[in-house]
Amino acid sequence: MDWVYLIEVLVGGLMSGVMYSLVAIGFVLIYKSSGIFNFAQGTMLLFASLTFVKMTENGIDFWTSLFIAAGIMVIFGVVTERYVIRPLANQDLLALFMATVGLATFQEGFSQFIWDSDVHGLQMSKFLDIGLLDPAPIFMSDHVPWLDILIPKFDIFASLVAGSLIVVLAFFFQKTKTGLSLRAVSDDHMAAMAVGIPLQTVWAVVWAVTGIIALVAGLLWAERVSVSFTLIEAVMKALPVILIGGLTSIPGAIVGGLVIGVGEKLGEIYLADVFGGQGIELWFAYFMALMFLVFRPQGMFGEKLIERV
Amino acid sequence: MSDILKVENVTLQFGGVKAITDISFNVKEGEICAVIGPNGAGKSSMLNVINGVYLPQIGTVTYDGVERQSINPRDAAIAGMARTFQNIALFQGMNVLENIMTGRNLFMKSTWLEQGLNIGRAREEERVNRLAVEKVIKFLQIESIRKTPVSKLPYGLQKRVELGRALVAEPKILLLDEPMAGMNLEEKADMSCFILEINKEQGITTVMIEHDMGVVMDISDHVVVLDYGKKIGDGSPSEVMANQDVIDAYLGVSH
Repeated sequence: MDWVYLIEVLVGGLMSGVMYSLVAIGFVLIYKSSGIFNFAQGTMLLFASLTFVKMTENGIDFWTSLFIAAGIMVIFGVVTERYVIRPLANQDLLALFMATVGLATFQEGFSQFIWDSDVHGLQMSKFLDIGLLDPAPIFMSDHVPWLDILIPKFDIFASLVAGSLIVVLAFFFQKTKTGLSLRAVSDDHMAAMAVGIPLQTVWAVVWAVTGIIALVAGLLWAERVSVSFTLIEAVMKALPVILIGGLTSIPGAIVGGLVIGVGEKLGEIYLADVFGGQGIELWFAYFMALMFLVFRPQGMFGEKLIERV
Repeated sequence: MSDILKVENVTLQFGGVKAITDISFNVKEGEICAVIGPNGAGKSSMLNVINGVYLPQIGTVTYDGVERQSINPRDAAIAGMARTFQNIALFQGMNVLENIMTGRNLFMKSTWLEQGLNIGRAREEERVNRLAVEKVIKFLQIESIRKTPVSKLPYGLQKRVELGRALVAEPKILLLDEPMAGMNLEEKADMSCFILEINKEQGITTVMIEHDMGVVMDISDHVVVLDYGKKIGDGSPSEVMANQDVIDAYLGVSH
């Protein structure tokens, strides 16, 4: 076996895995706080990155565009909580899910309405002078003599950005009152309100944070696949991640993303022949999720539902 | 002593079902008031009206001098009402310490940035809150299970943790929904001691729903009896015990 090649595959897998994790955390946050599976996650990515791209195309500089796009996502999150989620609080979960389906449709149309439906290329290297944004790969042997592997520079950049955002989020939800409140709300709405936790504020924060995650994830994905409606499909890869990691666990989303990232790369390289040739990367993640559904339906870290009879 | 809580002519309906019909009673500051009655009498509904979970169709609740038709549970908590639930409502994903800590959330005033980085006001706040939590843990004698996930605890201890979460908020009034349901004799004795001590030492007014007559007669200063959503008795334990309507409701009437 070619060990260097294996390491290269593993590193590549981990890096795309971090990106999956980031998208999956968006799902988990909303699910944890309100029990809703947010169907609009993909369109949020699209809307966020389209907003950003249109602004840079109109000559606004990188940081200002990023700031404005983040602001718009926060406003969008707060408005969603106020006018979509809050009126439906305590309704059937299916009603809430359908509301997010509606939200997705609205957002897709709204993006086209205020921006456009063209395919936009995003090249961050045009705005930011960071060596890592160069599309050329890095020869690790130039830096670490014994490590003779190739890594695309942008992958390093993307996983650094995604990784640091994940760390910040973990800190935010572990160390702050908002984090404690979120965990309380996710367990029991009634009890949370009885101890004085503002349910609506927690929801609004979660939607706003999810909006910012969508912006960052959207931009990182867009750099690879361009800003277009295919971005919505990129989000589909987060579904196997949350099936594996469990919908209720942030560490689960992180580990699940890494497992999927590594798994599909390893599958592509070493199992392609078993499954009939190249290209299994496209669906191998879903296959892994299916296996989890059969053998461990609550995911790796999800809560197992035990009912006392 | 003045009345801290006044329930006036409250009627609560769910569709065509009247859960509570025209109930009025007062709770004096500093007393333990027990609300009793057979199953389905409207006791829990009454408690839920007081802290705003349900909105009554008719009637008002005057608490701490403010008359309201409705209040939401968060505002009730801010106004100093803390409660426990009939079917334990702990945060199952957290341990004992974290659960009780959520009861302090109204005392956390620093920003998330300060808390995340543990700087500025957040430090002092964390210290004060942690001290308050530890005091309650010590009082309820649950030191040894501090870090245990609540889902792993037996029923009796979960009830105690829930009382702790309510207590740590330093409430003016404590609403307890069947604090002793499902407990054995020893656990009931412990719980009675805690409730008495909270009331006598810290002077917290307590409204409690309870089924165990022995306990109710022992520790409460004032008993309100409900039956089929109506009030049939109101007075000191001995008065209530002598009340013919109450005896009929509990023992049945021969026709």
